[in-house]
Amino acid sequence: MLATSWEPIDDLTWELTLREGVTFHNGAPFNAEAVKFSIERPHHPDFETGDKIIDVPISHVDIIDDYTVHIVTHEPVPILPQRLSRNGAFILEPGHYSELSQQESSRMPVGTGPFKLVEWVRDQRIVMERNEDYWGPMPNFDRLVYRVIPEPATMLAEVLTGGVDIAPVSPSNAEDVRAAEGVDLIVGDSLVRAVLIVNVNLHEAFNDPRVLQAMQWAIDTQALIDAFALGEAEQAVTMVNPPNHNPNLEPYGYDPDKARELLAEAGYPDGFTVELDVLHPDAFDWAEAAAFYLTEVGINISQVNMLSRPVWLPRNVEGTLNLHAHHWSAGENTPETDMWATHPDRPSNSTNWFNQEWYDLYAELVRTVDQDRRTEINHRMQEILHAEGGPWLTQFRVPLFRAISDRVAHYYPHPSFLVEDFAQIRLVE
Amino acid sequence: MSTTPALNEKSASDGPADTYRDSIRRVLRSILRSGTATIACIILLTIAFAAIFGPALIPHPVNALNLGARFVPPSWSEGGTITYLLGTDQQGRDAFSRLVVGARMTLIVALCAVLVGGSIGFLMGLIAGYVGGRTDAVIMRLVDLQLAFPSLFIGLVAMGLLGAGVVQLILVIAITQWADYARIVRGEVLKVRATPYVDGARALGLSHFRILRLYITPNVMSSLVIVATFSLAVAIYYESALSFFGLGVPPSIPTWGNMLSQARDLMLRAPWLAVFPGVAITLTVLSFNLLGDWLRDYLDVKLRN
Repeated sequence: MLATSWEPIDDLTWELTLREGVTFHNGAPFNAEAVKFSIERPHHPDFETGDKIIDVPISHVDIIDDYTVHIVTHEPVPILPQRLSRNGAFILEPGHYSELSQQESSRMPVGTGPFKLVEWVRDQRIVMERNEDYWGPMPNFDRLVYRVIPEPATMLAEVLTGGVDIAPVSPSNAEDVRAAEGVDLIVGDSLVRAVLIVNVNLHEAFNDPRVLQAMQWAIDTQALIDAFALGEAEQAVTMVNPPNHNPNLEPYGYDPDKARELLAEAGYPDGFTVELDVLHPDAFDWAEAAAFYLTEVGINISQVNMLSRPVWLPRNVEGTLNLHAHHWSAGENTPETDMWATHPDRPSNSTNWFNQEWYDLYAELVRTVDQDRRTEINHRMQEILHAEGGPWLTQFRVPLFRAISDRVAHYYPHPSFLVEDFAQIRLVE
Repeated sequence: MSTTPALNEKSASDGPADTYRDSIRRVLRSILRSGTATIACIILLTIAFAAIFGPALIPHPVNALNLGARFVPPSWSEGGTITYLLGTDQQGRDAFSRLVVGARMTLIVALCAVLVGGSIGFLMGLIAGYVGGRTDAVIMRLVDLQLAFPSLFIGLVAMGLLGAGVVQLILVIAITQWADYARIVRGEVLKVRATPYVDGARALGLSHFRILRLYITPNVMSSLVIVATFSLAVAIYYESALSFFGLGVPPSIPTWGNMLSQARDLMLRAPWLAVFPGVAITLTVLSFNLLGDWLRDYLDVKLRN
């Protein structure tokens, strides 16, 4: 990490102490100037494309000395360090990035990391070379090649024949990797939530919490985990990942009779018919199985659609998706970022769900710095989500299956699925 | 006007003595004489039977999953069971049942596409060939334009824009095929239009519509049927290809292309899931081609007798 310590000075100011003796890939020194440049950059009116960090209400950055900065926000941001840990908050070399246009610089990144970019061929490969001036422990190999292999079967074949050293594998193929010679299977924890999301506007039935609860009881989530995550995941209660989850809540179990009862109580003894959209290809298998379970209790899924990103993204923003299955990452690991997917003001919210108490609590949570009060609010919000039954159902954190060659060690997939720490990798001598 | 029926019979069939039953008998004899056509017919009849009655006869409901019995191999291999004749897929669903039910949607899509594409192509070819002149030039440039693009490419782009769905798929396959029909029909029409009996009909003052209906269409029909047989094979191939790319029939509806597409990522884990739909597609396409070959020979007057 480029900051060695961080603490709030007052409600609106965080003080960061920076690592000394770090240089950028082009030889320029890393200092407070670079931090000010990088944090303020996306808030500049000329900035072309926004990135995730842009929606943090940052006012400005004060340089105290070469290795101390104060980040000042418009309103309290208790989770600022977590927000700065996510992709989009990288520290860039000011000279390089102010010289080039955003288009050009995005193809020629200059940072402080353990690898420098050598070559980028779109949709084929990214070649990186070890940064000899890296401040941290040095990897013991010279080049890191990132290859794009679109066919999972081809990728698996490359893994088994030694063509690649590290590759993601699907749960269906994990057993083959485990059994193969010269290759190991790693199962990494993740913050990526497999989730069935209800768009409550899709059908009037979804406005009744009993219907959402019925859907929870209808699906054998444990069976889905055993089959499609090889049992390597736990059923989650709400969308909030540990350690911020409410430990007092129990997940809904599998009880199709109870589901039918609740549906009848809500006035749908004969059920109703909806469609299911799958937004992430890896979610298709479990979503299709979940559709079967829902159909069994009377919520008839007439069709399971596999949507590509350009198709679902606008419908996600409009809130016009059907019932949808997704793999949703939550890299910051804070309660407010984990839960913002159901907040009415977020464009990424596809649920159209609303609960006044929950809404007010969220507004309080994002401004509260006191840890105890934060926990209290957060737990209460999860109780509401759990009691309502939705709008997020059937959740588990997707384990990250990776095939890794015996000649490579110390690799562990990053739980956020958004970044990777390649500096830790070592070749076995 | 009294000469019209005689002219019609002369051009449409072989003689007044020919009865319906006789012609059926002759077709059957011709099929049986050709070994390949016999095999093709047996295969196609089996598949048609599966498509029509299969859903009522299959041992397991197509969408009934059994997560405890995933990736069961075919019954004759080690670990297989007779309950699942061709094994099970990643959801524990019976592969045999899905293959049988998949025949229906695969054939529906192919037949509808050929019907729609054939009708458009037939009309366009008829108009182009009969009217001629500028109309002909415009239609034929459209045909050239259509044929200049690789049809799978058109299919991929169109499905990407329209979104996946059965109706869209039928339309897209029809669009990729109409040009073939139009060109062949136009050629036949040009040939027929120049014959003395059409001149005669025109001299008798028959309307264009009647000339087209009574003299031209029957003579174009045999070529059209042959092209349609080959097109059926191509349509099945397109259905499978587009579904394989995830742009065809929604993946929850079993078709051979969808089954193949889902099996692709599991090639090493469960090769049988890819083999059987692949074999089914191959056999069907091959059979339609063989039948088309036979039909071409059968309808060719020069080769008859």
